Amino acid sequence: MKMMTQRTRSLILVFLLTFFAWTACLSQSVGMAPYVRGDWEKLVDKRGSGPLVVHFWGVSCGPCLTEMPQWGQFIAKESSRVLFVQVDDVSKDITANLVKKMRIDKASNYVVFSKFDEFLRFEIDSKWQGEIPYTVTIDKHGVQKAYAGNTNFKTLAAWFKKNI
Amino acid sequence: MAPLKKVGHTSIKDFMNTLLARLYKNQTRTRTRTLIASAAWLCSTLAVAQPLSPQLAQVPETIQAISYDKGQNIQKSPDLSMGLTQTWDACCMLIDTLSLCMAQDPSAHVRIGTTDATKTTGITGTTEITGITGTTEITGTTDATETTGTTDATETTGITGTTEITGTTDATETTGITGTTEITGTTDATETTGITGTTEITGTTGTTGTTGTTGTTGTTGTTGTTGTTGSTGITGTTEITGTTDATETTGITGTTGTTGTTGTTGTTGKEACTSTALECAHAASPLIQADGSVLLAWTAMGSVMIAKSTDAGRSFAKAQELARHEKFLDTGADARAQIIGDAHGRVMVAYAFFKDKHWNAQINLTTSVDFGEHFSTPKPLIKNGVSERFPSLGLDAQERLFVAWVDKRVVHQQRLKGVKQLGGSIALAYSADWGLSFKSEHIVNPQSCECCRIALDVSMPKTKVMAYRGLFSGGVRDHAVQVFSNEAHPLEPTKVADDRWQTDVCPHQGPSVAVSVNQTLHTVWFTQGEHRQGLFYAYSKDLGRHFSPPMALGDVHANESRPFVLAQDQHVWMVWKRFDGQHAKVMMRRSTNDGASWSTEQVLAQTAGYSDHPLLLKHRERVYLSWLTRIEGFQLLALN
Repeated sequence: MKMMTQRTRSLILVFLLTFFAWTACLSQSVGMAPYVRGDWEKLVDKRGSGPLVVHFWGVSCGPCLTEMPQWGQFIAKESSRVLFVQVDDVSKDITANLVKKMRIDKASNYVVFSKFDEFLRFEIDSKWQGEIPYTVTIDKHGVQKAYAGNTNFKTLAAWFKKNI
Repeated sequence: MAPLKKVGHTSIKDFMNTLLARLYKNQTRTRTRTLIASAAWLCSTLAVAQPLSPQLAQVPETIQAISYDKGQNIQKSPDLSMGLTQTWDACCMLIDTLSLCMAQDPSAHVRIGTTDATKTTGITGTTEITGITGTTEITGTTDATETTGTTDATETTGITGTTEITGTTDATETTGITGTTEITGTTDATETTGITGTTEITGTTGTTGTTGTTGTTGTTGTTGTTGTTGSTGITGTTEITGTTDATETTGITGTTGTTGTTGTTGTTGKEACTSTALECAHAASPLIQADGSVLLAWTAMGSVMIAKSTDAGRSFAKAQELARHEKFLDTGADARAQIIGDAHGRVMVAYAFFKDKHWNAQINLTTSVDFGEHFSTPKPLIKNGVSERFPSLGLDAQERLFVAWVDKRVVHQQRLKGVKQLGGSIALAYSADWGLSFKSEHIVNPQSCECCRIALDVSMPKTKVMAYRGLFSGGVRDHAVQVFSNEAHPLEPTKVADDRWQTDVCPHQGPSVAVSVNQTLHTVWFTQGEHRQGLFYAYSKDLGRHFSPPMALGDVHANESRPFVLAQDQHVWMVWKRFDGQHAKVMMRRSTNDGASWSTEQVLAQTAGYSDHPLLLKHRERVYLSWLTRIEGFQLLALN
């Protein structure tokens, strides 16, 4: 009887633990990893053999915010191989809320943890002065190109098609 | 210590079963068994992500580490509190003294090992990861390379390992440690996180040249040591050592090496800061007062600070905090606290902060009437505004205080009418009573770029001027100047040059303007236009109606930025920043004939770490360069 009780207790404990953990998962907000100096190479390495697009944006950048919903639609339809890096030094909650609102929360999101200075930018493009939005594309051959300003999503979709 | 084993499985389920069987069998405690079972189940249930897939799984809090390389290196998630939607292919958790790692990719090989109880215990937070990774296990592993890799996870570990380091609030230590930018990230409660992520930390340590050497050790270090080791580097730094208690130090030191590399980082060292001290400032604005003292206003860790120096900026008295807005302080790339003063010891500081979560900003002013000894409570520049950023202050010969800023009222009004208008507007006002009231407040150009600083020079009695990045027809963000009278009513804006930068980006880099004794307008700017790219200079002898052909500054193939110009009589100085990937340098050119001809460029200063924009200011007949760098600190260099 005593054994039964212990087993029952264990089962209940397993159930409760699982339930609470699962609930916690569901209630978690958007996840964002820190982006720091030296991370560019790691990001590119993780690309594997396919294409990759990395989009840099800022929560206080008007043109960025205007365009972000289109990125949300794009990653939902076209491709999963897009990473987002938010460069403004603001609270995580604010960034997380915007990421969710713009519907890019299903993608991999990064936040610049240090100052978005020339050291960090130089790793990506030696002449980049920090203007955003800024998008870097790396094709299946590893050729990297970048552009500042809004994205032509039709062109980007065609690029993905060609590179996958 | 259990030996490290590599396990390959055809499916997650298979893997789980193996794990469960093995771990369950080795445990005698019911609770631990239960935990293992539930955790393993959870992991298998949630592990559905594929590399770079948008369908990323959320990670439960019970998972304390992840791996991005099939378990070769295992790292603690830097931000588990917010979940994780990053690509990961293995998860690990620590249960009592047992670490579990499970792969999402069925074909992945994952290390499984039990950690040394002692380490696990001793080390908190991140450290566990080390433990998990099976510090020891790694050691056991002969694979030198991975070890090296240690750098990754390990560094994390190492640093983290030491709770003390994290905890340390002592500025010095922080600095030492901080050396690394990443650490900065740490800012969040669980500093562990920040630390964890960073390899540099280790490097930081590099400080101690020794480390470099040790670096090699890294190999050795690989050793679970790694974790520990990583720290070693740190230890190198005297500051840290100081803090740490004997024991920790020891532990840490033991290792060494990991990051020999760091040497370099060492320098960078002071980049990650967690205080409001000048050492942690990102932008600093100086004022040389009538009594010869220097007031320096800066922003750091969400606060606006000010301090006085009586030895030309070499040292400062205790700083005052003028305002604190935490993460809502406007610290954008072109934002900074502005400061101005008159001959009677009156001082004004202006800054902007975001007043709501829609990024609407507000400009606040605070004043002093005793050479910066005491400041008033900050108050808004305008009431019932929509959004204002980038204040620029100027003092004319009649001691009237002018302020220009980027204002969003026009854009807001248009939006209410259903008209979508990009950018912002340029607003101007002046005060004859040192900010108690402002007169003639109005929009002088309804369309401008919304994310660049405004340049203002009102020092010449007849020719006051402002320069800013405009927003012309078709979305062209070229530069404009407007000359105005004492009543702050400017002439129509004119273009400085037809760069034709048609773009929808935030350049975060505004122009600079200065008026010489001959009423010549000198201006410098940055563009990525269709017609030219880089930094340029031009002058106008007819109040901005026509400008000279743009003259390029620096090397068009180099990274040249942040130009600034200042005129004193017929002399004109231009400075800007050049970055070559390792060092930032302040470059200078000078004209002695009101811009007709220029000297060749000259390096005024350089640094290997973070640096602010170079600024020019004058006091009586002297011209100075102001430059804040993380390594060298604040510098005020006389140029004549």
